[in-house]
Amino acid sequence: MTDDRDEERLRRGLQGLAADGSASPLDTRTLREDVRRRAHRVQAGRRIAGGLGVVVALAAAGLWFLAEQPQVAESPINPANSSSSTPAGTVTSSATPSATASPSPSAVVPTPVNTRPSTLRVSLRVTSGQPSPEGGSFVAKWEVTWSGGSAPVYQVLIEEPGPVVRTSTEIGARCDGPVGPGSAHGELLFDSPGPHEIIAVVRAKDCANRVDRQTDTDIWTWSQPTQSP
Amino acid sequence: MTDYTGFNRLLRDRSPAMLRTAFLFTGDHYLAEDLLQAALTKTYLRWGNLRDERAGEAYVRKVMASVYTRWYRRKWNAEYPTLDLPERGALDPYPASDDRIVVSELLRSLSRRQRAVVVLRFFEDLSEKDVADMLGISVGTVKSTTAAALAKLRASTSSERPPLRPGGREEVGNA
Repeated sequence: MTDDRDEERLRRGLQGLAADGSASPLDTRTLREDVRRRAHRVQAGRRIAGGLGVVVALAAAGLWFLAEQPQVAESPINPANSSSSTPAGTVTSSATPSATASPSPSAVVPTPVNTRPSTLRVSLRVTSGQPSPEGGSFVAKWEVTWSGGSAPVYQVLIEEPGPVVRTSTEIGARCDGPVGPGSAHGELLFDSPGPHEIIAVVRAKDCANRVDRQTDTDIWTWSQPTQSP
Repeated sequence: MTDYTGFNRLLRDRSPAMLRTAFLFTGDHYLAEDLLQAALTKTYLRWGNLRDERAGEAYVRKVMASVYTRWYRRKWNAEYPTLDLPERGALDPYPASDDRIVVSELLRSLSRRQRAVVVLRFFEDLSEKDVADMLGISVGTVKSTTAAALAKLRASTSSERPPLRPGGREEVGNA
């Protein structure tokens, strides 16, 4: 009963308030024009947003492509200037010297990373070196040789699985420099006799920034180095 | 190509009624017009998908309730400057007994969603289920909100001051 009376009072009050609110007349013509103008603005905004969405998507795709570019360029370079096969000088790389190692009998088989054909051939050979003056460590002497390819080699990395880069040797060749065989060597220090997996990564780059990357892996275990006469 | 004849008719014939609802939501004539305009704009953009004018009017009210309960806070929460003080109108000489004042006070004390429930339920005479559908809440919430609003109304009625005696004068200030 009380609820009914309260509800009735609420209805009366709302009716009265609504009547107060609609005291000033509503200009429906102006309202219609305003609504239409506002709707067209919203539609135009949606069209612009749609266009921007396409532009942003294209830009993102472009950026992604550029970001992927070096990886794509890891594929072999077209042998455009392979005719210039002037022999490159042997590069000596300096790595941390240390202990002893034994010549590894492991075969040096180039392991191409890319499935696409590359003319760059890489070979890694690891032998054991004399113990370091500090003692207690095991020295691996590595030598990387390469040949072929269509661009000058600019970098040689020696890595362990992970990959952990143990040493990086910059060859400093110009992109338009001579293409040809070369080599780099150095020493690595290990805490244990192994066996250790050592990976040589050779990178060549032409002037269009196309990178050719080839690797070779050697499993090396330290052994008493043979004394050379 | 969408035919807007029905929309124009809806706007011409039903706008004043819808404006009254918007006014009860917002409590301000200008804000009510803005709310109605926003709801009509959304309806205009969706007109091709609506079945008829009745569906269109229901859609306008639904959008108004939605915009009011969700956007109102963000869009219109700032102070609203005005040159003219709101007109009180000539009310009952016994102010507390005027339903408009009591209900106006009640609406001001409610949250936006509660206010929307009260307006839709008691001004638009929608069923509890329709109110729940329109606001996207449960029927139970509509019932509890309604009960709470009625309780507040009762409480404010019981705390009303006694009316002035005819010919009497209210004593104000220190004796």
